[in-house]
Amino acid sequence: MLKRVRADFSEASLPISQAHFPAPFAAGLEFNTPEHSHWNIVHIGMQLPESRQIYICGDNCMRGVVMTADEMDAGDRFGMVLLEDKDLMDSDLTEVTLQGIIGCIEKWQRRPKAVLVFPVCLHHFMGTDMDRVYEVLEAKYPDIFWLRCWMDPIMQKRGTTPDERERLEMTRPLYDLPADPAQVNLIGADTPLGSEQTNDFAALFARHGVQVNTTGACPDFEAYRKTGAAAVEVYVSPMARLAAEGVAARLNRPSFYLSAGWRDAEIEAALAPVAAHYGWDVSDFLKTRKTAAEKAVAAAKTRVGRMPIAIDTVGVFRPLSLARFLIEAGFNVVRLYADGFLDEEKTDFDWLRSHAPSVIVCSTLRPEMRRWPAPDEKVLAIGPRAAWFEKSRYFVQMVANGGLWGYGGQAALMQEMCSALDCPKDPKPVIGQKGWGCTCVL
Amino acid sequence: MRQVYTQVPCYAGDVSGAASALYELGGMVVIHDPSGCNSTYNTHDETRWYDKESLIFISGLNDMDAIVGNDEKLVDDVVEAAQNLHPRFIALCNSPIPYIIGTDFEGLSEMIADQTGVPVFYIPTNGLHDYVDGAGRAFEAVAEMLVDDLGEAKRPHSVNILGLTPLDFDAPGSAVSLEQKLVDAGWQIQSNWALDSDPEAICGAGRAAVNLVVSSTGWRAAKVLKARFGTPAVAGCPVGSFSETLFDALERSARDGRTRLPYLDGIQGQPSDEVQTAVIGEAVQAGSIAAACAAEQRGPVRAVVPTECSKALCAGQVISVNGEAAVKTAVGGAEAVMADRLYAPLVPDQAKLIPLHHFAFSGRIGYDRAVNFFDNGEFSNLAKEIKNGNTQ
Repeated sequence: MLKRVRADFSEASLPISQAHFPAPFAAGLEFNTPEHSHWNIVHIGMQLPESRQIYICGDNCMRGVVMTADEMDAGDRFGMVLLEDKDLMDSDLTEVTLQGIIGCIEKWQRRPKAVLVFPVCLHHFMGTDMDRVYEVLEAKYPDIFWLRCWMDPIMQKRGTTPDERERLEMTRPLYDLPADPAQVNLIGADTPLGSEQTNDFAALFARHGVQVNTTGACPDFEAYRKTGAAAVEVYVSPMARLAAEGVAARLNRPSFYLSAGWRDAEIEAALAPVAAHYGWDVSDFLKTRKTAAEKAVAAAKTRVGRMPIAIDTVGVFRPLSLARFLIEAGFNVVRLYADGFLDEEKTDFDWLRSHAPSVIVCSTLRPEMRRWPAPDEKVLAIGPRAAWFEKSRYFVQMVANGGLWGYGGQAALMQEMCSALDCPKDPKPVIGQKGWGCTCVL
Repeated sequence: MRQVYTQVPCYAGDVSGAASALYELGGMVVIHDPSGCNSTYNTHDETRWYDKESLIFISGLNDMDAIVGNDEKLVDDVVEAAQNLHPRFIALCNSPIPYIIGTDFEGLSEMIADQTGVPVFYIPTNGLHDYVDGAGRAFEAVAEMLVDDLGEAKRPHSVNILGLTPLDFDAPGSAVSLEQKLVDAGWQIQSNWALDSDPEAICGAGRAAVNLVVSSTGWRAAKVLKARFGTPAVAGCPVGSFSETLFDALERSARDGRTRLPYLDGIQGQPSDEVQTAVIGEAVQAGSIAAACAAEQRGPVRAVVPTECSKALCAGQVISVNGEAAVKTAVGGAEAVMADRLYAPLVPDQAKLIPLHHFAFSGRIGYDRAVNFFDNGEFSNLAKEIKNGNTQ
């Protein structure tokens, strides 16, 4: 039988003091872990009520998206045009694409209100005329709102990613209505809002009677379109920047990036422009929540002690900020699983290099990480990918910040960390589930 | 339009098939693709990824590298990974973009082999075919590249099992049960391609007296082994009352060196325009189940094959179909349809659907109800369901 050989990890893990910013590792072959909790373009698009999705691609690319839809019990909202060799060699791919989309519409018994169309990398390379495709579709089916998405990962390393473009497209249906100051849109369909307890801005808006609209909460497509009335656009996910700024420009609204930093100063700096826009005095509000968070941190420190902690970029948007926050609070952060960092993390990166130089940054993509060994000690993981690499049963399962934001987020995370220790769980069925938080039939 | 699907998913793709076939053989599989292939494969098309290590990676191809033909990056990256991870071999898989721009994989394979000293071969997938094609081509490459020339005499009464992957045989214990059945029937297992298998045994596959092809994915390899070692092949799965027929065919082929497809014989001669029971699935497996049903019931039985396969494996009442409408037509009029649950929308209203999980089709959905065909108890429960028209 085969013997397992270890590997040299020097190109895949290194102390943060030796790491480069923002890309610590050289690109090479890519490994993919068994962790699949993040949302993909199917999950994001399915939040749009009364919509359907049509993909035009080969079997291999199709498989991932159609099974995503089936696993979230949304196969009836999914159409596909399976491309064959002849479509690339002897056919007009523009016409195949067009007729395939029409075929899906005609096969469905009920007409969707909106369709997200996903051509793929091949369509770029074959010079497909997608403008003509949409021109015909919009003339033939004027009752359908056509969203011009792409599933073209070949372009994503140097430009807009498929999910960034999709989020932007998903703002196009919003009506241009008179601004309603009692509404705000949270842009980015995979960013959970959380509750007033876990999210400061959700609590702040609720306190002032401002409704926060999210895509998935809209009962139907028309209600979604009417969220165009919101007077303000906010976003937490860095991947929603294009969408938020795009819709804000189109509807002439202000947009605010509520960066998901974890430290007190970052929280208050992110919230300040919003408060200023509305003219709210938030000092008492923040003071109360900060006091509650400090108590939660103290309790968690007692429970967690100096247990090693690992953090990943699937669970939180700002892993360096979280690491710094935890270290400053007296926790023992030992590893960060990240293949790149946001520009806004530079200050925290520099702080960690000076104050916690031995924290190890680990790639999640480098091929040798397939053989990353289990640690000798029990590790508390924050995020599903860290849980896999650490082979830990003690982990906080969350994606895209999990609806945690601000002091409420700090307090909620502390509770989650304690729960992770008190209730260890088998990671396999949890972290392998796609689109954590979506419907799942597994 | 035949290529339009709105009711059922597609099967696992060719790249997944290739990766699945090579999973346990100690090599490194590199899919030259931008992104997504590996995630799709290990999420939906592979049962072993979490618990059993295998070196399967993507190249992370980007648009500029494709446009300017920066193949050196691929070579450098593969060489670097191989020098660190020490695979037994390297397999390069193609995907849609390198396929249409005509990347020279044969040349790249030679360059990588020169720099690493490791055998390198190319699996000509292109992302446009299903898993049968990809796994079939991968097993074919194994037969050509990894099986040693015959240095010793043939082992009498020994058999290679070809085409055994979790994509078709997903229930835990399938490989063990199959091997035990063959051993109980008096056969020695030379090698198993390739589930719970020993790669060293595959190197000696030329010594087997006969090849048992348990799915279409093993057919291409069987042809190579026939050409290289003169080993005859028998296609079929030992399920239910078809087992004896299959074992008899193995004995005869080992004696006379002829290739046999006994499941086709089992359901030949029935009226072609009507069907009582239809089995939807991969050709050899569905054909074998259909043959077992035909032996146990009077009404006509049909195997409906939506996966790709050699024309030799589909004949008579083993019908190759393509597209949702064709599947619907092929099972029309059936009283019972044995198929993966996700085929429910295509099953006629009057027909009973007897669920038969197929990992290459529904992946993780219903995986906990996968049936081990080679376990006599589990298969006989299935046969009873067909007979009684019971559904779960």
